[in-house]
Amino acid sequence: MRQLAWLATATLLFCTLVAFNGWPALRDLASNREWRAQQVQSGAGSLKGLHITVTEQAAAIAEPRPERAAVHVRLQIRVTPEARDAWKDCRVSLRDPHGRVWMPLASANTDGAIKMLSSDGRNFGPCSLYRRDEQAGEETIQADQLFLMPSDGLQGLRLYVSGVGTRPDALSFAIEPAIRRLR
Amino acid sequence: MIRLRHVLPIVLGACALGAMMATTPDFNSVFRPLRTTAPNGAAAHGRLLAVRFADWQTAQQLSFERYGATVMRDTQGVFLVVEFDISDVRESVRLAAAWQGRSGRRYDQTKRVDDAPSTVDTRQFHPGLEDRGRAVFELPPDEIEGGTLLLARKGPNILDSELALTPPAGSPARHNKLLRLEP
Amino acid sequence: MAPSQPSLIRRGARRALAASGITAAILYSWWQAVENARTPQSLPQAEVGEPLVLGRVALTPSSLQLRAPSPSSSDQRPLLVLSAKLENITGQTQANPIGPPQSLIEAKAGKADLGVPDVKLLRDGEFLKQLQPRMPEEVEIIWHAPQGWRAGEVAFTFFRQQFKLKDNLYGQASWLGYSAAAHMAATPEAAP
Repeated sequence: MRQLAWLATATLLFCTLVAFNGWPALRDLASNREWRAQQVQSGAGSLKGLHITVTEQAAAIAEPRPERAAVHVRLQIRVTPEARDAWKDCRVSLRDPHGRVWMPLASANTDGAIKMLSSDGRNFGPCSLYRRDEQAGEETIQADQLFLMPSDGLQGLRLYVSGVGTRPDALSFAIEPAIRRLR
Repeated sequence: MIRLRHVLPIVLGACALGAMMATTPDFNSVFRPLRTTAPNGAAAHGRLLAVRFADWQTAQQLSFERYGATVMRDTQGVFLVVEFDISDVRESVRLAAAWQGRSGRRYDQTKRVDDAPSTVDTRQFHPGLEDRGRAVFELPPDEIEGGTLLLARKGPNILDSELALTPPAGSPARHNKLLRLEP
Repeated sequence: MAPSQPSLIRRGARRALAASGITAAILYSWWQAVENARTPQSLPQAEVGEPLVLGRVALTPSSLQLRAPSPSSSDQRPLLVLSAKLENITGQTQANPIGPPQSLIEAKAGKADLGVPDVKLLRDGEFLKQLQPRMPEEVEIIWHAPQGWRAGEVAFTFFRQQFKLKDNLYGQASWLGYSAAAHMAATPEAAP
């Protein structure tokens, strides 16, 4: 019986040690994954003081390469200093029901493509929460993202928005872009 | 006389401990990329993508367009230009390519052809889209035969996939004096 | 009746024996300090044309020149140019091994430390970004000389970086600290 008690104590301590050593690693992983996404139905949602609205979404398919589609998403973000401290940065990605993840394009051609797809011909740049105006408390900023996707994968997409300070929590918006065919 | 049953557990324990100490892998062999090797013609499947070896050729000199001007590069060894097909991408990735020569030396993609079109350092590969990537290496000619192409996600790659592609036997059939890198 | 105590000598001898280890250690370290102060520390002299092994690279200096700055550049200080051959002697591609963060070569013109140099690959005329194994390259290591400095003697100190297959912390293979490996004093020639 005494041996059993010792064995039980040893097992308990071992599990505690594993949990203790693994906790920072788990925390690290959680700050990179978006496990707890709040599903937003209306196109506008808020998380930790940041209010985000999807204002534009469009997809363009060029005839020379019909298997690819460029998807443009514009976000309007209301930032307060508290929200900025809570989020720290902003990461936008698109996911499909199969779990594939698309990150925004960042190349020399993106500027022209976004200006062509947006309604006002402007490119506000990628989502970033840095303070643009020293005086203002609350600011409203816009962010443009461009994604390159297969044309047959435009159904059931969800836009995930999160920051270093919010992950594993994230906001998840349903995306159904209107498709334009370009010659 | 010490009873055998008192000494035996200690001796067995010491032997077990010695065996464990002798067979514990060291840090270098534990924390390294998880390599998946594919024989010639087959695709290697990693965590985020699958790659297949497509084509290779060598050149004595390379030229490409950079900001509207033509840039020439020559070498004391030889330039090896390798092309590979990417499929089954799970998440938008940037890749880093390296060539492990016959001697075991590792040659990273040469930075002298940064900004050359289609080289793997500038491009992103997206889910649902099949693509072809190109990597350029600068190395002594005797490192080509018997070498392996290594592809991994760009950045620190300690415990993530590394895809090793075996090229066809022998050396590349095409050797160019001057190869122009087109998009 | 109290047991008789061993004589003072015996007690002293036992205690001396017990303390012998630490005594030896202290005496040895004192002696090392004395030895280090006695022998003058001097680094081997590097010669032009002789390869120097500096850890990741082998450097063979070939010439030293003082050049006028190009008229189009914003910095009008004269350029001190050490031409050399660099070879990567490791088994992997190395990024520019001559600093930053720490330059492998320290140059002093008089009292002034010339800072971290730029390294130009002669083959391309652009900055050296990488060195591939078994491919030695001719490079120019360029410092900006102090404004108005007359060509005089420049003292170079070459540093070697140490590699350990199993370091003390994790048993991980890593490149560790720098130590001075060689010294060279040279006077630059005027560039044609």
